[in-house]
Amino acid sequence: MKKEPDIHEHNDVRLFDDLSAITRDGPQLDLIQRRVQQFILSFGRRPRILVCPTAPGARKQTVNHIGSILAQWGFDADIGPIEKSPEQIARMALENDVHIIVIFCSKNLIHQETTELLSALKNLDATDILVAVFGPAPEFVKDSDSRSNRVGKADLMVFNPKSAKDVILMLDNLTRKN
Amino acid sequence: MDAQFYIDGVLEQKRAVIAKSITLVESSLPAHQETAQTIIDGLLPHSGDAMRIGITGVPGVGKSTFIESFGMMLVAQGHNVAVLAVDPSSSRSGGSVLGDKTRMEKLSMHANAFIRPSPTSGTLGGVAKKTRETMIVCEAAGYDVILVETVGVGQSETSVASMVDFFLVLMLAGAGDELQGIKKGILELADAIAINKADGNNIDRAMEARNEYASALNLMESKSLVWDVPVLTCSALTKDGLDNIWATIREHRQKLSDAGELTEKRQSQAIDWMWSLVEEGLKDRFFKDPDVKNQLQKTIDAVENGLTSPSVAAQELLHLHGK
Repeated sequence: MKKEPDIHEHNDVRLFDDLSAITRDGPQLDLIQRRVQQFILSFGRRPRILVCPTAPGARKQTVNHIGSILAQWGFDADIGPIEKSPEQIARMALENDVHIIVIFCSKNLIHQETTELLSALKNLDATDILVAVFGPAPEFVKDSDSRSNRVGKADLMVFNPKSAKDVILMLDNLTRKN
Repeated sequence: MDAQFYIDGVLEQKRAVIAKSITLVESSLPAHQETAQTIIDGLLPHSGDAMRIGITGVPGVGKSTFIESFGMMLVAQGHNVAVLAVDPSSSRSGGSVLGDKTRMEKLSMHANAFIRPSPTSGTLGGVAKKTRETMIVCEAAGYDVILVETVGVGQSETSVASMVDFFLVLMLAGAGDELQGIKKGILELADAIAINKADGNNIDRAMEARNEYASALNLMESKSLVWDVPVLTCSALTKDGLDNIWATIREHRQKLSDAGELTEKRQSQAIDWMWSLVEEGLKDRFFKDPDVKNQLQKTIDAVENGLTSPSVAAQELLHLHGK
């Protein structure tokens, strides 16, 4: 039986190194935290992000690690349960009133799962919540405008920051959406 | 959206509106706070009947697992359960990791449950102080049991105990130094103590711990004329003892209601709430005072460099604000 690709196989492990590197780099971290403060001044709260692994074999430790990095950037990071359905993730995002959901999917399911999640959010009338795919842009969104991380009609983003600038761009997108 | 939109939505039990209302309540923006106050005023007449239960315990005691099992038992009995989980924020970045739903997987998906984790600090020094308002939103939305989970041992426990009807302290068996390690203040706040993880080969140790806590409580003055704090055992894993805890909570409510103590408690809590809002308002005004703003950094520098003592600096700043 073919093994289901797990979170590490789908998402380049270097991505974790990128996130850690940004966090360890004082000036870059400072830039992000300053942008977060601006966000708070605009919206009265921190950017709130739901990190949700849907891939079979996704490790809780990995997700917690990312949550911890986001908290160091100044975000409020909700950690979602592993392997939940798009409907369940959408409900959680709605109740926690997050700004963005970052999902980890199996490579072969990413198109289906993101589509279903966007649909579930629409059903709950929660279209103000952005969805981002963790890792390099999947094939079906590769023709998107990568500079702004916006995909299609801006419903789907890619969470793949290489520097503070990318994180700030994401916050700019959240600001526009809200 | 105006306040009436949120009031109507909460009363109609619309999840999205409940969630957005809580966000407004927790917001640091003055415009949001104003709207939130109108919402709370509008919802207040529809609240007050719910069981407000605070749950605390040291990290690792199994609070979230307990709430998952306890909450599932309550929804099976037909209750609507809201869980307000308070998670710690980083003192350096201010950000938080909010992970409670990972340990409440069944409850978080139940139609009669609503779970909202909130960071302890956030933008204006502590969301826990907004938990009262959040409880009112949930009560008005029809949740008749409100579980407020707090982290570890600290100031948040005192704060939460002052806003709930029943304060449950979860403990673990088998740690020999437990009694020494427990802050007396936490035991004074408790309406019941439950030794969790009383299952498998831990049952004997749980019973032993129960006796130790019961002895310790005998040495403490009771805070109620009609209620002696019981020490119970339970297992969130096997669900043993959960029904007994619920029966205890209901008995407590009945006894305190009959004696008029529940009304007194809520009146006293309303006064506490008022004072906490006064304190919050004073602090807010202090930091917005232009004279204080102009002088603040200079004073901080002077204290940092040892040129002024902290007490003198504080007096100077307070004097500036009092001008």
